[in-house]
Amino acid sequence: MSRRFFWRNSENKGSLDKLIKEANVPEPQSIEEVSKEDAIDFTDPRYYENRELSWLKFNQRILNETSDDDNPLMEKLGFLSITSSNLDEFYMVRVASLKDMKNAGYKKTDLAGLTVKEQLSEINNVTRRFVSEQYRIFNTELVPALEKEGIRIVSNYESLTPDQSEFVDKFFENSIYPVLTPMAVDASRPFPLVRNKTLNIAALIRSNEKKSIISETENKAKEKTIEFATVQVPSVLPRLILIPSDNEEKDVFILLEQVIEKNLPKLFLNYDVVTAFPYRIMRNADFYLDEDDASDLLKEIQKQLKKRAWGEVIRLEVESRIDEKLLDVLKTNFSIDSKDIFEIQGPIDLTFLAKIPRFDERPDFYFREFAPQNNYRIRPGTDIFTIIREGDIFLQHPYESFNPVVDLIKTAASDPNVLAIKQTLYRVSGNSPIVEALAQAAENGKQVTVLVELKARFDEQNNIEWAKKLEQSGCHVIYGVVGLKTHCKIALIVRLEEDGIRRYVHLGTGNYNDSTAKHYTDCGIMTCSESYGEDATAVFNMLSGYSEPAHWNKLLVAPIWMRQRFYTLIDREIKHAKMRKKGLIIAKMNSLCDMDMIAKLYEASHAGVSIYLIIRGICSLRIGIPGISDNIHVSSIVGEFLEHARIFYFYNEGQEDIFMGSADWMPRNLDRRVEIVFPVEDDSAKEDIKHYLDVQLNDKRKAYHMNSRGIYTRLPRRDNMDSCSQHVFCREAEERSKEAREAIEAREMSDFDE
Amino acid sequence: MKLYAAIYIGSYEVAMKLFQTKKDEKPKEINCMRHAVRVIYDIFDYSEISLQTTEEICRILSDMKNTMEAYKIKDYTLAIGNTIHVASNEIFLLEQIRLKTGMIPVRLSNSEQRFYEYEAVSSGDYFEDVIKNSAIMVDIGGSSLQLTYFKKGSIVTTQHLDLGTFNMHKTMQKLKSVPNGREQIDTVIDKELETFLNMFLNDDKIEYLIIIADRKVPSGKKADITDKIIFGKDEFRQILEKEWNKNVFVEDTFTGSLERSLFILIREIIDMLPAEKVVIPNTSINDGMALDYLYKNKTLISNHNFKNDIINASWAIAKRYESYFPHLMTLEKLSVKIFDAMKRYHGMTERERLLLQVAVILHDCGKYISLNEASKCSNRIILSSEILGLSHKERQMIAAIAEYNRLDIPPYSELSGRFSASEYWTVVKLVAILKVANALDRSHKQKLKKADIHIRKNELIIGVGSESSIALERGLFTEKADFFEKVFDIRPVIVEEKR
Repeated sequence: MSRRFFWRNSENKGSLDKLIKEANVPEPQSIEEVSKEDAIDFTDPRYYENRELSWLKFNQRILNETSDDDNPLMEKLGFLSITSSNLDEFYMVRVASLKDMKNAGYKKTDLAGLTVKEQLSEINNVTRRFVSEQYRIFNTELVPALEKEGIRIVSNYESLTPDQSEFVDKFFENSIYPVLTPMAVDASRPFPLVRNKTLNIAALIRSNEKKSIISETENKAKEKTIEFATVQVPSVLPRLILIPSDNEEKDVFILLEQVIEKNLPKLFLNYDVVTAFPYRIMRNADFYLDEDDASDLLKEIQKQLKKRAWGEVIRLEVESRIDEKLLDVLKTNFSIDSKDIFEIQGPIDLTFLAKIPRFDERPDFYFREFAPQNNYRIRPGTDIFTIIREGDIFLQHPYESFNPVVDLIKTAASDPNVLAIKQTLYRVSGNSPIVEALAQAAENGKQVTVLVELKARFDEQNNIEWAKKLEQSGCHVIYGVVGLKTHCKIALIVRLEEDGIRRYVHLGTGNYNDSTAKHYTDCGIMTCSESYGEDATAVFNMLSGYSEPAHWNKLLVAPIWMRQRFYTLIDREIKHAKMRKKGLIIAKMNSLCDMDMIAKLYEASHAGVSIYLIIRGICSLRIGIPGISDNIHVSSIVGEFLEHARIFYFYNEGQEDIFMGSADWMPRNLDRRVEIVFPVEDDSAKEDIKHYLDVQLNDKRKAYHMNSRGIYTRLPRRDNMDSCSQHVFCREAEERSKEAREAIEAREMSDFDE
Repeated sequence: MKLYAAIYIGSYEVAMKLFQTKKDEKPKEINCMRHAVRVIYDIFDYSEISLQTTEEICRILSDMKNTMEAYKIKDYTLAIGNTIHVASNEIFLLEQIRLKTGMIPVRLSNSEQRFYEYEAVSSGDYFEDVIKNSAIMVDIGGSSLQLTYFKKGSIVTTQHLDLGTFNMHKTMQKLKSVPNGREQIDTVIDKELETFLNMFLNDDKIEYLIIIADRKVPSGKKADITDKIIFGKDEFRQILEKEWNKNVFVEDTFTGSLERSLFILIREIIDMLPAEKVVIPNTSINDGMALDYLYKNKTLISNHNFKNDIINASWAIAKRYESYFPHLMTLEKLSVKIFDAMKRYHGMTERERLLLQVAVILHDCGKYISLNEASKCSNRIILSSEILGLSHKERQMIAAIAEYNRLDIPPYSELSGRFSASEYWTVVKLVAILKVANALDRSHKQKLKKADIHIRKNELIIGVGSESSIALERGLFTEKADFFEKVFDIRPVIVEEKR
């Protein structure tokens, strides 16, 4: 099939060519310079940024989306919700881990030279400013914008009309009351377990029982005693309740906690509610797993998950106007420092904003709905194995549909010639069609081996369920590798064909999750190349507990081999630069915080290699340090879809090497996880990826650029509206798909004519 | 297209390779599964394989069997390495494997095991060039080391030394606290290698040193570099040095100590053996097993002539024991002629023909030890001399043929512990042939200038031409002919050409 598409000539093309053209050809060095070079310490902490603070900057970039007027209203709310859930996870994992280190007396500094205490202090400062900004945007920009559109979130119960008030009270009695469990604390009832991340209402209550005719002292004591009570806002009910509105307002919502708060006296009969406020705690969710001693990993993780509910409280959010006494009770019982208490200027936990019911009649509230397109190589009615045999298939999600990946597994499950299917699963969607297909394959008598990573954070429980389901279907389930998280995305299908065994391999940068594949930008290839097949077989043998192979044909596999291989690739560019040849590296990833890898990039920059980094999240590398990082440029794209692909480009004197995979340049990816990065060898796929990088480097709309002070800025909005890389990819995918469809139709027509 | 699985249980690991095989094509590896096991640890510490290791082996084999079943593989070989024979409870392991996996293991003798390794190495495209002039193949195992010397394309000798990586590890542990322990270790290795050098190499120059081991031999190979196989000696020394300096050996750990032992052994070997280049083949015993399977099924013909190796190695042994070559050469010709003439009647194959040749070449070597007990001594020498390419059973058969060439062969009941009925019968037939052939050169003077041998009715006509009297041969022939007739129901008859 012809591979010449219009988009190859799109206006975005050319920046990569330009970069290559303009890549440095370093000047020859003097003897003094060469000897000075040896003295440079590329690991000097001044050259690095703390990873947590860099992450907070990333969350700030997402928050900026809430103020970007190109984003529709509901999407802005969505972005705000994302910043909130991101921050929760950041606290539960990263801050919790730092607190653990502090408690253990950890003295070492991080790559930027900060102690644990300094990091926690700076995180606290930045987070306070961040949360304040979140609520400023919510209160002063988004709430008014909603109201302008006739959508109101009731902030004051008293503002309800009598009809609305009656509706809410009835709703409480019929729907909320039955699922509430109020818990009071007194001498016989200890402080209850308050679950992580749940929203609760704390109250101080006082008995109003009729006076005792026997004891006057008892009566006085009762009057004086104020008790603490708490009630969890039920997570089974929607946080926002739509209530009847008058004609002027289209939609009025009230927050669930407000309804409960208002009706609290109904829960504590014989008591007066003195004061009541919502609150939320964040617990340490980072559990320690002694895998060496765990005879059954699945059971051990289940045990630890239960313990997570009792993790140390590391953050308490309360409404800013909370009663002092009530706050004291919470503070004492959660044993939390004042500095870890966040007083919130609005509704606690903004993640509810993502759950506002969809306004179908207002498409302008949302991003233009984009349907992932069919990959142009996939022909309806043609067997997927046949298509892969014709050449590697390069998939770009979400611009192109994830269905071919699902279809590959489904087809394999029912294909009589397929002998075995092996796959890794890290995070899968609910009702995953891939899991269904794997279970079906096992039931059809194929040998199905699935590595379900039970240690995938916050997906542990979900993955335990999948693992059990797959086991019941007859799959051989491996629960990850001891001491390592298996993060690689690989599927292998072994098929017996006329000329022998053929192996079909899918390798990707993102999870086998058909749901997130619609929102995360990822890449993948499907191939039946023998060398990939051999490597994939070796990967699964290794994951099954067998020894590693003597060597890999193609794959870069972490934790043992990948780091060194990346060094070699960077060193090659350094070598070329030192020989006064062009050196160019382009790397796209989610995070860069591995000190040795950054030091290697500094070394490359110092040698004259031009380096372009497209890093969505954490970047501990600093640019513009004279003699260290002058030749490095860092950009970050934050947009409609979550940038998730990892792509690595090395110019190699024009013999370009391109890799993709599951690994970031973070210590955890390179040293503590099973990751795969694979070379892209198919010329056509290579061209596609170069174009992909080209468009991203040319994004003048959604890309931020880091400056030498570590600040990320975007170009003014008026410039280059059409250069938004994600929009370019959407457009191109549609055009490619249309062109392929037309070609098929034309062929069918000509067949019909004949 | 067929699939075949080669499974090997060695000193350190259980390894399975799955191969896709096609007529006249080298086997193509489609899967390789290796799992570490503590066989050698158990054997050296407790003289037996622990229950835990036995269970682990059975679990791994069951898993491998599942993989075989997934690939619908029916043809397989499960071989058990030589080290395991030392375990006092070997039979228990074999039985457990049979019961728990349903697989029947084959016990490999040292020479069979080494031969598989050799078959794997010899399948390399480079191999014939490497052994064209002179080469030594060093096969380093857990408990021993095999040195095979090649000259002009075939084997001169193969010798087994007690210098394995595990032995070295043990020696190193013992010498840990001895002053200059490292030097002592080098001395131990050097002493063994020196004996080999003096006995077999004299001052011969060696072009290539082929090093294989059941652990990964350091070759500086990286994941991204195409396998390099042949190195200059100095280049290889540098690679070793580099790997050594990487300090990968954590001496306190068992694996670290074994890696260290391997390094020390290799370093001493390349220092002691006078080779110019070093070859590090990228093969394993499983590859050899697959090739052997294909050669035996006639799916593939080997590039290398293993039969020549066997014959040449046999001559080398005969030479060492100062056998009388003219007699052996005559005897070889005569016995092969008889074998070929009788082909329709004895039903034996080329393989038995080869056994006969080896038996002929070695039948007299015992005389070097004792003229009186020559037969028994020949038997012992043959049993203790390894010949790559012959199985242990085949060597036993050859030893028996050599022994009963002079003595009367006992009834089957007396040898049933050593041979199956068919093996016994093969021995008997080959002894009968050897006896007749030997009788024809009874004087050891090669009087027969020609011998035309063919079958006529129920007689094996041996038409001989001689310039001198063959009265002695004729006189002693009857007894041998009687035995031959008893075996084949065909009477050998000497028909002398008119002078």
